[in-house]
Amino acid sequence: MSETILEARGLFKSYGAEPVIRGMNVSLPAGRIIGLLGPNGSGKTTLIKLAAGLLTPTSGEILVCGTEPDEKTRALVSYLPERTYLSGWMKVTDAVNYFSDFYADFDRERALTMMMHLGINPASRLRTLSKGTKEKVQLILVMSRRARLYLLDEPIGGVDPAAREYILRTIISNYAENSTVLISTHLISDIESVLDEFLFIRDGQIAMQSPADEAREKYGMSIDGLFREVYRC
Amino acid sequence: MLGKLIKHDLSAQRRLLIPLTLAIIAASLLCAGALRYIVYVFSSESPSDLAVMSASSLIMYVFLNAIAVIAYPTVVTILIMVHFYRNLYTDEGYLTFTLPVRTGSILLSKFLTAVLWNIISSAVVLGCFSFVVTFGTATDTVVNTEAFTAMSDIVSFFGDMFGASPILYLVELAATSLYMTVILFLAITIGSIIAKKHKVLASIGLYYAISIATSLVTNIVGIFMMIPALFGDAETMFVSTVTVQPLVDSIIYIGFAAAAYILTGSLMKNKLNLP
Repeated sequence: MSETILEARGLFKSYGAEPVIRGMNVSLPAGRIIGLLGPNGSGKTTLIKLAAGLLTPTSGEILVCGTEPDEKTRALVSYLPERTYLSGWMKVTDAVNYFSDFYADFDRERALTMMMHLGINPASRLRTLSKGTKEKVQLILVMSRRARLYLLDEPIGGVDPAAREYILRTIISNYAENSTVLISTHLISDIESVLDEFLFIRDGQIAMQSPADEAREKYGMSIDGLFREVYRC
Repeated sequence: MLGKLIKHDLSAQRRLLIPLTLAIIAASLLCAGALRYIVYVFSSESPSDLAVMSASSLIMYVFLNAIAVIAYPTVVTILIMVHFYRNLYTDEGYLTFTLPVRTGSILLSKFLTAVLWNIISSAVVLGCFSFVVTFGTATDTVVNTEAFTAMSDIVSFFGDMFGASPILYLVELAATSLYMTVILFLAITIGSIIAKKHKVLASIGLYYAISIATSLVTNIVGIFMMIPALFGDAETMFVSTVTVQPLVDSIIYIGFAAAAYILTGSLMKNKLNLP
């Protein structure tokens, strides 16, 4: 049986009186690309933030490689939020140096090579780059780490279709066998081909968890089609 | 990792603070020259009209430079706090708080860099004023040594008169500076956690609320500490005011700063609420 990378047990998270994650139980194995799929407000981002250690559970627990999120698990997790988190005054090289300084598993050469392939000038200031290019820079930095768990929150939301293909190729070709990639998105058709497994999340609970191929065979439709069926308004 | 955090904090802060500091120093050097010219013109027996006019126009520059030097530490503090807020409680926080470092180290790095800039800004203000006064007011010599003597005499006068050590006031100044830094950290942290919108305004409001509460405490404690002096004569009471009050204030400020530091660290770790 493969190692569990991320596990939630009776996980609750509420913002004030409003519950967002409601008693979630889930276990994610190593070596998989997993889609975290659900409509807006279903709790995808909150679950990812909890795993990244940006939020603390209201009750229950979330474990990364068997440990509650802390500075040690943050060294194992490579997190891409749905927003630009690099300072605008930084040059691309400053951002590379920043990751290089803090993450022992960061592969600087790999990052610079990927940037070269995408035509990103390392001397450019981040504030001068387009939103899509900034997202590419962030994704390259995140995927240039040899992390155990990649948490990617809407990694392709803000980029053009051509870049999406490159990004997905980047994800597939850069994660190690014993690593897990958790991708949150609602652009299911774009990422379906790379998914080994998926989670449907609804109202802060896991509505379905299955290997992608098994689900396609069982329901006779794509994951995108299944999503539309499950979440039909 | 603390060293790396400090390195990157200083790197982000120096972009604005070093040019600002160099500008203040350069403006003060020019100001010292301007003041020297003014003193020279007005101490001459029969200056020309042109010299008087040009010297008069430079008086405004000297005045504005004095205001700029006085405002400089406040501007430094504001820039440090803007960095603190942006780096922790805006989108940048998503990177800062997912670094493989303890939250305590993140706060300590911000605190140490703020203290460093406080020391630098105090030294720059002291250096600029000393230079402007000693160089700018000299007439026949390179520097006006009498100005040094006068400053030293003022300190001795207060020391002799009230028995108050100038070191006591320096301690109070340092304690107040530490207190202000940490209270600002706390106000920004609470403001960012509780406010859904207008986080900066909430932080400013909280800062003033905390400051007023602390002032009340220092005043009340100060009054109680001086009760024995009330039974003495006016001189005893005055001496007590200038010696006891700074000590009491320093202890209270350091106590409040320590409590605020611990509370800020705890809130950062357990109640983070990024937008």
